[in-house]
Order: sequence, then C-alpha cells, then structure tokens
Amino acid sequence: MNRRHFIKNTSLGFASINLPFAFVKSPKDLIIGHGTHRYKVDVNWGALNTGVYPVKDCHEMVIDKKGRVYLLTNHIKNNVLVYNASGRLLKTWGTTYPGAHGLTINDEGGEEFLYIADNDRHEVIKTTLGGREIMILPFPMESKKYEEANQYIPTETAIADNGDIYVSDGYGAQYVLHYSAKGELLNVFGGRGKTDAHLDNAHGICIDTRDADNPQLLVTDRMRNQLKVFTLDGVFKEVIDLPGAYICRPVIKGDYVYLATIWSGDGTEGTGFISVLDKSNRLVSAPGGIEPSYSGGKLNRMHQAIKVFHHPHDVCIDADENLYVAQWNSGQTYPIKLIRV
Amino acid sequence: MMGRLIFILTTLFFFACQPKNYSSFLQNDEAVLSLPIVVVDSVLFQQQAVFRMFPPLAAAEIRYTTNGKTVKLDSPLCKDSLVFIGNTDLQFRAFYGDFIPSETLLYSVRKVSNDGRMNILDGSTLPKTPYEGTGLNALSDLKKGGLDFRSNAHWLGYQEKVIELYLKFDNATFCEQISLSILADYNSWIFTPSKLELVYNEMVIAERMIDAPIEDDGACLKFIDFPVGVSVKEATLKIYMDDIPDWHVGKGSVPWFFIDEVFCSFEF
Repeated sequence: MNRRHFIKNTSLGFASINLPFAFVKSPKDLIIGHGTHRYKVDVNWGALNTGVYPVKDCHEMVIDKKGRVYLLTNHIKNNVLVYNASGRLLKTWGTTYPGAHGLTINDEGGEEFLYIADNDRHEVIKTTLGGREIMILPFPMESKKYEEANQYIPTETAIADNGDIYVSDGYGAQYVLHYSAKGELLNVFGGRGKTDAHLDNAHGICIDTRDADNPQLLVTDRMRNQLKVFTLDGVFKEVIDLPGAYICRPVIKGDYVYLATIWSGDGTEGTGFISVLDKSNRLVSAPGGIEPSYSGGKLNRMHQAIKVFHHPHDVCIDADENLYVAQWNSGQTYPIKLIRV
Repeated sequence: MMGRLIFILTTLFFFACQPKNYSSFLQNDEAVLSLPIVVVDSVLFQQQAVFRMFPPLAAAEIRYTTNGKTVKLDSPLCKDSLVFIGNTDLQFRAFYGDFIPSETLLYSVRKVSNDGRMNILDGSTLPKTPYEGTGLNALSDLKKGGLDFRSNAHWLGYQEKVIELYLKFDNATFCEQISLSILADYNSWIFTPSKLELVYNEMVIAERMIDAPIEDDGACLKFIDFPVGVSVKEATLKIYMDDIPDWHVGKGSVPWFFIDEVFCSFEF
C-alpha cells in the first residue's frame, strides 16, 4: 500500500470528499513540528515495487559517511535496503536476519561497520556495509543472568569511541550488556525492577557525545516513558521524563536527541510521533504530536495531533537535518522522509 | 444559445479534467486529525460527571453528540467543560480547516447506585495469566482501566467460552440494571460477549443478547447495560463468548474478554 493512502486510510473508514472541480483548491503542504524543528512530509521517498523489494516491519535506519541510507527490515528477502539521499535504491542484501531489529553504524579506523540486533536469532551481528559478517555476539550465557537463549532478545547496540559495545536486551530481561570491542563481556546493568536504575522495555541505547568530555549512555525505558542516563560504566545518573511518549532509540545529531515515539498518550495503537530534545533534554518539537509544553518544569503529557505516522520505530538524520522515519507494523510501507523547513 | 451552452460545458469539462496539483508532500487536506483528548473526573459517579476536552491542534474545534448520531460540523461545540448527571454515551470528533476530521471518540459515564456495590466471590472464573490484574476484587473497586490494558492492573483478561462471576451484595438491593465495564479492541483479539445471563437459584432472571461486531472500529471502552429490575442479594453472572468472527484474522478462535468493573446502575 502506498504511504499517502495508508496515512489517509488507516485512521478512517472513509476518505475526504474530493470535489469535482479540483482546480479551485489551492494545495497546502502540511508542516509538522514546532519551533526550529518543522518539516514537510515527503510520502514518496524511497517507494519501491513491493513485489520485488518487500518489507515487513521497517525497524531502523542509519546513514554512512557518503550519505547512503541503510534501512533494516525483518523481511528475509532483503533485510537491508540501501538508498541514496533522494530515495533511489542502490542495492539490497541480507536474507538471514528474521528478527532484524536494531541497526547501528560505527566508524572504526576509517571503515564503517553495521551492528544488527536480531530478536529471533538472539544475537548481535557485526557486518561490513556490504553485508559480510565480521563478528557475532551470541546469547550471553557467561553473564549468569539467563538460563536459555530465548530469554535474551536484543533490540539495540551502541558503540563507544574505544570500540566497547553496549547491547540493550529490550524485549528480554532488560539488561544492558557491556562488551569489549573483541566481544568479551565486561559488565551487566539495568534489568527489571522498580528503581530508577532498572528498565522496562529497554528498547534503545546510544552514546550521548554532546558533552565531548563526558560521554554517557542514554537508555530507553519505554513503558515508563523515560530516557535514562548511565555512565559508560553502567552507573545510573538521572531520569528524563517524557510522559505520554513511548520512545524508541535515542539518536544524537548536533545538540539534539531525536526519538521515534511509537505510541503516545495512554499507549493506544497508531498514535506515534517524533520527539526532539534540546541540549538540556527538554522536548522542543514533536512532529506529528501536540506542541510540547511544560508546567512547573515538568513536561505535560504528550499526544499525537495529526495522523502522519502510525508506529514510528526509528529516525535518522542526514547532513541537511532532514529526517527519515522507519515504521513498525504500518502496512508494510516504506520509510517517510521529513524535509526540514 | 446552443453554442454558448456547448462552450460552457466544454470549459467545465476542460477544468474538471485537469489533474489535481500532485505533490510529493503530504497536503493539509490529506492529513487526518488525531482524536481529541477527553478527561472525565469520574466515569462511575454518584452525583455528576464533569468532562474536559483538549483538541489535537490548538485551533481545532471539538464537537459532540449524546444521541448516538454521527458527530458533524453542525453538532454541538464543546467549550470549557460538559457536566452530566445521568448515564450518558458521548461521541466526540475534532475538526479544523482543510484537515480531515478525526475519528470518533466514544466515551460513556454511568451513575452508580449508592448501595449497588457488590463483592465477587471465590469460585468465580479466574482471569488468565498475565492479565490477572489485582484479582477479582478489581471488578468491584469502582476503578476504571484505560486502553492500555497490557500495563493496567484494573483489567482482568479472560479467554473462555463461558465466564461465571458470583455476585454478592451487602444487602438485598433493588437493581435497575447491572453494568459491565469492558474493553473492545479487536486488533488485540479482545471482543465483546455474545450473551449475558443473571442466574439465581438456577433460574435465569435476566438476560441480554449482544450483536457480534461486523468490522474493526478501533479500540474503545464500553459499558454493557443489562436490565434486571429485581431485588437481589446474590446471583451468578454468566458471560458467553462466541468464537472470533470470520472477518478477523483470528477467526474461529476463542477471543479475549477484558472487564474492569461490574456494578448496579440506574437505568437512565
């Protein structure tokens, strides 16, 4: 289904009435977002022949140094689709990642690598940009936190400057596993529980490098509508409350954190939007959502405003600060591009 | 005269056949407003229920009906708040400019009888893991769940063809009707019952048949009112579930049933 029709039809059993004299209407491009982060919605970007290049869930996207956009889907006919910035398909690869979920890119001595967190394989796979497998981080039996592989369902990976790898077990036991670059398990933290240092749906993780002298981890606690800050050693530091925002992975670009927000309000299906946090971690723009507002220093509960997105699952940002939004369970549609205005 | 008519028709035909100015960008008139946000102080009330409404866009209008009719642009406009003193089933929609109006938000409130509280006795059908909520007592604590049934302990979830709840009142109570507060979310395989029975001394003293849903109309909170009109001290409420209908991907399986309250209510 094409995205324009999906956007119109998923939320309504009926469409708008098209006037017979269409020429009297002056089209207005929809602008979503707030303040300095406002966007037009390109619903044609990256559209392909679904019979030839099918997608199921479009889980995550990253951009390499050359500006090529990598989309990860759990369709095993083509797990990775590589586009140029204008949405032309360059190549596809990958047929062995049935639970393809998390996609992270990392520059290691001039060469970039991808890290795929696979829900079904219960492991993280490191590959070249062309899809050659370099390393596999298997189910971490040595952590003594798990009895069997099924309990470990990794959702995301983050790589520190020294090459250390952090894996969030967001659909499993909610731990963050810290490995050396060679794959040796160094530390385990988080897990289920009721304190601020615990996690509930640790769906995403990233290294927050906005303070270059003090890099730290941002970890999603999706069911609590929170982003949690840990040191690189796994010591809990603080909570960033985002009431009503069921956030996916945090993505850093410049001074801002971008988060696809898969559900909003009370968690109803089909209510997603995008969250943009500034350097002080205040929500400053919510494309597709209501205008963020604070009372007494606390964010008022967020809700979707316009049904542009269904279940946004990841966002990546190009050099021009346009956004690419991949969506889970959204009619097997391709990503949506937001052009910054 | 004929020439002028032909000219006019040709001109109209020419403009009518012009392709719409097609843009790669989503247009305002292709975008659907999200549901309005509605907050009510007490869904189950004894004096009155006060609604406050918030539009999805600041400039959008919220309109409503209470008679079951579709909310349109000429339906009553919501202002600061709405107050109701009796059972009410409301529908809300948001409207703004060129945007496609929102879907309809259904919201119901029920006036609870002062002495209509009941206990749910042991021996009643138990909910299925992981949807045990806080146990059977959750059905008589007058605390409502929301649409977030997965993380809301007010809901009890069942997956049985017949569910039996043993009701016991503190005193013999004249009960105009029994109301069940339930969740319908067909996308999550949660359906409404096909039949309700109230049984006392092995006799059916009241029953209600419920039409099967014919399409997925979105997740919503519902009340099913069940006329009784007799004094009861204790009785068994039987809830019957039909298999999932053919139009649904789960056709033929036993659906889920989610309930968060049972209470005596007034019939208005």
